[in-house]
Amino acid sequence: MQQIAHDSGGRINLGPGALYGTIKQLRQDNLIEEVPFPDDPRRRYYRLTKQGWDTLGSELEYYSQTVRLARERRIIGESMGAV
Amino acid sequence: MKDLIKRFPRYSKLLYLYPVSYREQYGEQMLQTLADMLDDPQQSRASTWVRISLDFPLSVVKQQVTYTGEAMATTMPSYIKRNAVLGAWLVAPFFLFIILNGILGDRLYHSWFWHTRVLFIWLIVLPSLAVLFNLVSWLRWVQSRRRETKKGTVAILADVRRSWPALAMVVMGVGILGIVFFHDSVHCITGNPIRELHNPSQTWHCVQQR
Repeated sequence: MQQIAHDSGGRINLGPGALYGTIKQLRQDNLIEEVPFPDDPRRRYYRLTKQGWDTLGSELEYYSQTVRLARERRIIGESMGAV
Repeated sequence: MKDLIKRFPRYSKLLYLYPVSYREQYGEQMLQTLADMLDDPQQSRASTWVRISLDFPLSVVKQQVTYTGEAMATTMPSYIKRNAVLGAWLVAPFFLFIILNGILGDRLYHSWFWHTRVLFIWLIVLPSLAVLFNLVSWLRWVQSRRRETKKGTVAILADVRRSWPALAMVVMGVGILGIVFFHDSVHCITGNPIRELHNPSQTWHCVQQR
């Protein structure tokens, strides 16, 4: 949650309810899976599944194309939105 | 888990507002996350509790709506949905005529829509049918749940996620009938029990005139 708040410049501050709602949805969509981590039984760890990596890749590709198009149309400058 | 419940007795009780399966799967993790947030020296306790108090009600509503939607799509019997739709059609004239009459400035009130026999149909017969169909389907659902699960009657009655359309239609139909039977201006059509009690001769006179 700290990472998300930091990466979004403090714009996204998740609480436990929103966080686990998102985790539940991602698991239902088979985008993440729980990873066994016996060293610390109090905590659960998750990682991206293959489908999750594929989805992430296609999303990044989509954003990359959007930024490229915006740059070509001179909506944003060359220095902005480097992907 | 017990330590976390001891540390956050109120928050762990509030977790009961989440759907059961969600709470069973993520309740412990949510308590652990709260503990981690409060133990983090970089975050003030006040800001953490403010964030929790904003996040909690929204996520409870979201999960309840999500699970209700999932229950409707997967485990709600088709007869509950079908009879609820039928009930909605049966009570629709009541709302339609009342709203239209308001919009048209009492024009329907002076038309055949407000003649006694027509009134009787859309004020009494149709809502009664809606109540009847949905009450029967709800009772059928309670019976089948009793057979399928070993839950007690109270637990089955509290499981409104799988039966709420039928219950909603029963409440709506009974509400309409209640309005009709206790409305002062319709006593001569339906026999308003309060008016009859207070002034039986006037009620009888009104019924005779009709």
